[in-house]
Amino acid sequence: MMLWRIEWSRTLRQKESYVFLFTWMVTLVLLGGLGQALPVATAYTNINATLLTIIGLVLPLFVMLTTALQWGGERESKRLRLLTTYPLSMFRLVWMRYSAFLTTQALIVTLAYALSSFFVSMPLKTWVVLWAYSFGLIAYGTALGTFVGVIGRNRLQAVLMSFLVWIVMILLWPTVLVSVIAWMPYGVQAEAMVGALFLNGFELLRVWVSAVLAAPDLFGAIYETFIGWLDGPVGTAVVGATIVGVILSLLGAAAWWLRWEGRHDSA
Amino acid sequence: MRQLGWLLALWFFAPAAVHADTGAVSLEAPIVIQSNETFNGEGKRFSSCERPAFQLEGTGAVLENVEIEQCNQARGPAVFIVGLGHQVIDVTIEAAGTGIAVEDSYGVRLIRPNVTGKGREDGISIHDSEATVIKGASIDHVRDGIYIENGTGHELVRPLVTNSRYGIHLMFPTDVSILSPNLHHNKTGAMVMGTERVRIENGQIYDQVGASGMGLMLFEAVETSIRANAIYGNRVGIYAEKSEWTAIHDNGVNGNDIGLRLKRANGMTLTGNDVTNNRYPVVSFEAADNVVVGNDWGGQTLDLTRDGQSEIPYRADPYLFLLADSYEAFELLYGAPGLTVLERVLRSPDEVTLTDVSPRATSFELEWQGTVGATVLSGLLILLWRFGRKQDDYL
Repeated sequence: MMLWRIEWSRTLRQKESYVFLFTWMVTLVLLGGLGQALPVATAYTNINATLLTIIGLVLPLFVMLTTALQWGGERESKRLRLLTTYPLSMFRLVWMRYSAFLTTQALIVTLAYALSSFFVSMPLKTWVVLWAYSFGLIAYGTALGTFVGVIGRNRLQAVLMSFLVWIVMILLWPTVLVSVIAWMPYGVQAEAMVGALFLNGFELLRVWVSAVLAAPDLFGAIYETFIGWLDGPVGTAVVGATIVGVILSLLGAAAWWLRWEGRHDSA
Repeated sequence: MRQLGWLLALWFFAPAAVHADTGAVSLEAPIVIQSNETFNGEGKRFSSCERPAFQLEGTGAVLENVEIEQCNQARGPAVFIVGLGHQVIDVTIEAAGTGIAVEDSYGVRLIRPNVTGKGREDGISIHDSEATVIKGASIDHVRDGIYIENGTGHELVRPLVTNSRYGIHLMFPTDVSILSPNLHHNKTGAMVMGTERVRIENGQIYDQVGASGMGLMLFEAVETSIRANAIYGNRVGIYAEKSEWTAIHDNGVNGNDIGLRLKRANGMTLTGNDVTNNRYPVVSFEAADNVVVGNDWGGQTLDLTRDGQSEIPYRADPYLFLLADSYEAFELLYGAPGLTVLERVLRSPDEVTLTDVSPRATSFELEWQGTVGATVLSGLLILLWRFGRKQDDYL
């Protein structure tokens, strides 16, 4: 617990945290202020959709780059090697750093949302769901960044790799799907799209949050049943379990990598 | 003692006799109202099954103030009208078949008809007639609320249609005015097909249900005018396909998944509409020769000349919708962050995009929305941050 608190205070003191807070406040206030000028307020509008798109585009990049940079820095400054001498299991070490970073980011995003709500009027449910989406993205992105940061040999490599992951999973994902799924038989294309969602947690979270905020027909008749299910308690639980499962797997893989590397170094 | 017994028996059976007076009058054959006759039911209830309860024939017949219920097996209309200048006033119908059927008529007036159906047949159907006036109709749970086939010069004023397939369904009539319609919770608010010169004004068309829930749907409609309507909460606000010279003016099309969907819709005029707050303001493909000016799309605007018009044109790119038209499964990509990149890379040619050269400029507004809860939460989080920082580093 002591180590966790030390990690937490370190992440809170970093300048990136203040930059992150400022960036989110400006984004939320600008988009929300634009939405406020419009006469109709509905639960799911293009303002919310734009917010979702921007959050889904920027947040994973920032979180993955920051996490990978931190782990790369630890490795470069040999602190990682020192940390491995502590009487802690590798998974606990990884988990401690992950949870400290996650808590800091959750605090920053919650504060950004709370301060933005002074200027932006949205229903409480929309705020809560947007916050849950942001938190899910942070948790997933941090786990990916942790894994990439651990396997990177230095900061530059870690940053480049996490940038590459972001390009594939966010920027190129629709292009990849369009290229692959267009070749499949028409009858299985929708099932393939749903299956692909579970390969990319960022997309899964985006579709889940859209399902919660909008009507089940948001993505057309073909997905009406699936979106309705996703909006229900079972769907939400499955999404949560999938995200948590992937996060734990990534952290476990990072811990395994560190253990394997430690043995390799000692040999 | 015997007299008392008789009195008691009389008292016991008396309410049954009263009940028989207020119950529905069962009709085996229709009551035919001929030219210039008036039938005032004074609120009486009639029931019919295989044949209409009332039939208006000739010229100038009037039916008013009746309630009609149809048996469950009924397929025909409860009220059947043929002829000239008939009037039906304050008629309430619980219909299993069609509520009111008007055929080969001229100048029929239906005032405040109230039809509740079972979703099998139409509320009011008008075939091959002219100059029908329907005022204040209230229709619920039928197939099509008001169905008009062929004919000309009809006027619908304040129709309220809910929980039906199409609120209003026009098939090939000309010169129809629909004023102040209230159409909600139908599969489509109004379906306008093969028409000429239809006018829809001052309506409230909202919350249509289902994956294809559309506010207004125009198909092969010519010279349709849609003005000053509030169209919101539908999957698609206004859908126009193969329709020409449509004028869409001064409407509020807000809070729909797609505000306007235009496909092979040519020669249209779109001016002064508020198309903000839809998930996608407009999707247009294969639509040409359209005049699009001064609408509010809720996109990026810049008003340098301070005339309320933006100097940045609004351009609707149909890339994803063209894609989803061929591969329905890709609809799941709506709103994907990576799609914005794909849209930029695979930008559609100008011929297939809809461009508003001077959209209405959107003003940025900030209003204080502070609450006690948000203040307390912010304060607590700042304190948490402040105290969280106060730890010694271990290295």
